[in-house]
Order: sequence, then structure tokens, then C-alpha cells
Amino acid sequence: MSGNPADIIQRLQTDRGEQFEGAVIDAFNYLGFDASLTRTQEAESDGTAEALLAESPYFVVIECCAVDQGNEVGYEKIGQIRGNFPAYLDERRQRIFKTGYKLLVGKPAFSSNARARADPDVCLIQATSLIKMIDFHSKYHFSQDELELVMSVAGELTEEHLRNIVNIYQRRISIYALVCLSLIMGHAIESENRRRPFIPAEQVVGQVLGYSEMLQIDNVQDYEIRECIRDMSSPILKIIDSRDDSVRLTSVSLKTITANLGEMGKEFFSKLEDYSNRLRARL
Amino acid sequence: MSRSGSTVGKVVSVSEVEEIAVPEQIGWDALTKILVAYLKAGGEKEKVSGQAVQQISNVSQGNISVNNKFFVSLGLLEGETGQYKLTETGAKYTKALDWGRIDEAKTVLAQTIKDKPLVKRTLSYVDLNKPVTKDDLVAKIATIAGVTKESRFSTGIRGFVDMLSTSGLLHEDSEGRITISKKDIAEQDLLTDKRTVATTATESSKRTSIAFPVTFTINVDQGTDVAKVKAVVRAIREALSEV
Repeated sequence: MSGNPADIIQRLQTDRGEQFEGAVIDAFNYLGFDASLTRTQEAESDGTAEALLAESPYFVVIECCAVDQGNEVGYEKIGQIRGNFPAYLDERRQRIFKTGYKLLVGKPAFSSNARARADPDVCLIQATSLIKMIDFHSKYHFSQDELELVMSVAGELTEEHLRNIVNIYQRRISIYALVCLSLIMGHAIESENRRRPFIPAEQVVGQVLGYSEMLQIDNVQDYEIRECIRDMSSPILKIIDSRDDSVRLTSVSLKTITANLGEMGKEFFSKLEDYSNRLRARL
Repeated sequence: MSRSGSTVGKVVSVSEVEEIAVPEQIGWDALTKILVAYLKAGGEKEKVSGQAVQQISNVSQGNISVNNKFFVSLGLLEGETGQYKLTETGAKYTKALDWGRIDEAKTVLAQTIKDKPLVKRTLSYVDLNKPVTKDDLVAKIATIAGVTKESRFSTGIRGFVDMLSTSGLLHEDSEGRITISKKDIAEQDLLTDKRTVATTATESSKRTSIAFPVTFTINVDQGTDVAKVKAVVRAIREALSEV
């Protein structure tokens, strides 16, 4: 068992049987769930994952199935997880959790019958989609509430379902970049770490609205910008200082901040550079 | 089930005794499995046999059979010996559970059982004696239900207490102290408040027909002469008593 995402991804691609089940459970632990293998007898599924930190705690009963290349995971597994699910409704789970989900993780693909019969209460995730989730999570660090949007899908998880969560982050990162630009515009990004005076947040919001229109970023709203300003002045991001509804960049260099944010920081910095170049070209 | 009809310190009507039944032999986990198995065996639409339920739940037919009466007393099952089906609310509850909508299931369960005699008397005992321990409560419920202290009953009654906790009607803290849930307390407090308001209103209307709202504000600081304030208050009181 390993918590290293590269190793988990490799095992999800190559393993079969109990090893595949182990890789799926490791993937869920990596995603921030409290996951474990549970199969001890016939009428049980392979594992469970618990989201105790979600606003409304939930758990997931997981069934895994890896078949040979060219074959498909059949609908029988859907009946199996539905049959096993009540065994997980013990007193503790009924007391703690608000919702329980049924999840079938399979590879290489699900049969059309399985996809048709999964609705309305079973989520199907292909191993390749789980790998994508791991990749995105490495970058954005999804919350358990956001991951519930995936677990609550009835039927097969598609690229679009994942995009819906990822888009929230990408849009935020775009607005972060625009807020930064409004605070450093007229100066080179590299020199941004010099202390500047506080600027009223209202003025920053107005500038970001103008930039977003020029850069054709869809329908950015006043409240979104204010939320992003709040995020950016939080102790976690610490990109800007705020005082009496005025803001300025912190004295920490943007490169240091973005380095601290890992993959998400890289995306932020590249957007910052891109927007800066595009705006300079237009102004 | 061995029981007598007059063990609870008050006269219990025959129909009430009939409606009181406790689970036997198994805890809440197995009781849940039985109920969901009724749904899966088709018990939402027609009566099903204990054998069909046993095959799905993996709970022995004997344990299913002795607990059907308990489910009937709570309004979750209906039928006679050997053949039972889910009531409308029983089906609603088990479907919500089976679909993983645990919160919704809890609400349905609490609404269905809260007015049943055994549940009402259990909640009122806890409310009067709160907090209680699980052991105390199990012994009290056995008395209410008129059953002996045999382990088959105490296991079942523990399951019943767990059922009340999971439905949110009871709250058990980390040290095992049981109280009625805050939501229930809030409802009762609201009722008490309404009663108090009603009583006060009735009493005050008896005392006087006209009331003068009078408010005085006296600002006190370090330089205030307390003796003078006292004198002012005394004068006001005397003046008002003459009205």
C-alpha cells in the first residue's frame, strides 16, 4: 500500500484482482477519504470510503472490477453492490452520516447494459477517470464536498462531470491572476515584491471587471472578485494584505508564493504572465 | 414473549399493551437488515414470507419472526403471523435507506415512531431523569414493556435504544449519557413557553384590566450619590402605589 500518487496511478493501470482493489482504496485515501478494504465475507463489497470532513458527512461503498483488455465490466456488478449496500447501514453509519453512495470502479470499460442499469443510485468510474481525479487533486486539492459531486453522479462519470469541479478552480485562479495584475499593473511582474500603498478594494474590483471584459473571461461578477480577494488575503494563500477594505500585494515575492502553491501555483503564474502580456499588448 | 400488562406503575389499557413490543435477540444493525430485506423481497407491494426475508438479510428466520411484532407496533410493518408487508411509511423509510439517503430515512423514522406508546414513554422517562445511562434505560424499557431481564430482551432493547439514537430522538454523548435530542428539547421548551405565556396572560387578565407600561433609566457612574438614587426610587415607588 502506498500514498504516492505516481505509484497509485501505475497500480490502477496494471493491477488486477485484490491488488487492483488495494490500488483503488489507496486512491481514495489519497483523495482525502478515510478508506479501507472491507471484504471479509461473500455478501460484502470491496471497500468503503468515509468523508467525515464534509459539511454533510457521507460514505461510499466501493466495488472494484478489473477485466481483460477488450472485455467489459458487466451489469452483474451493479446488482452485487445494490445487494451488499444494506450490510453497511450499521448503527454507527446511520448515526454519523447523512448520505451513503454506491460506487463501482472498473476497467477497462463498462458494458452498455451496466451503464444503463446504474441509474439512479450507482456511480460508475473507470480506472482512467479515477486517475484523472488523482491528477486534478494533486493540483487543486479537492474538498470532500467537491468530491461528493462526483460520488453523487448516477451512471458513468464523464469528463464533463470532472470539468464541472475543475472549472470552479480554474475560474478562481483566473480571477486571482487578474486581482494581482490590478495591483501590479504598470510594473514588471518580477518587481512586484516592492511595497506599494494600499488601494481601495472597490477600485481593484472595478479594474478586474474591466480586465476580464478585455480578456473575454465570461461573466465575472463583483461578488466573485470579492470572494477571491478574501481568499488571497487568507493565511493559506497570503498573496495580498488587506486593511479597512483596502488591499496591496504582500512583501513576499509572487514567485515564492506560487512555488509554495505547487501545481496550482504554476497555473496561477502562467495565467498571470499570459494576461499581463495580452493586456500590455492592448493598452 | 412473557409480559404482564400492569408493570409500569400506572394502569395500562389493553390496546396500549398490545401496541408495546420490544425487539428480541438482535441489535439495530440486524433489525435494519430485516427491514431493508422486506423491501428487496417485494414487501412494498405484497406480503412476503420470513423465508424470503431471511435469504436476503442473512438473519435467521427465527429472529425475523420474533421481531415482526415489534415492527408492527412501530407502524413499519403490517400483516399477521408468517406474512408481512411494509406499511407506506415503512416502505418510504427503507427506500430512503437503500438509496443511501440516510438523513431523509432518519426523519421518516422519527416521524413514524415518535407517537408510538413505547417510544413516547421512553422519551418521557429520559426527559424526566436526564441524563440516563444505557443500562438504566434498558432496564426501564423492559419494565415498560413488561418483559424479563433475559439477555434476549436486553439485546433487543439495546437495539431499540440505538434505533432512537440513530433516528435523532435520543442523544447519547461520548460518555454514554443519554438525553432526549436537542431538537426535541427545543420543541418541548417551545410548548412550555407557549403554556407559560398563556398562563401568565390569563393570570394577569384576572388581576387587572389596565396596565401602565412605565420605564425609568438611571445612569450610575463613580460620582453618583447612591443615597440620593435610593431616595428617588423610593419616591417613585410611593407615587406609583397611589395611582
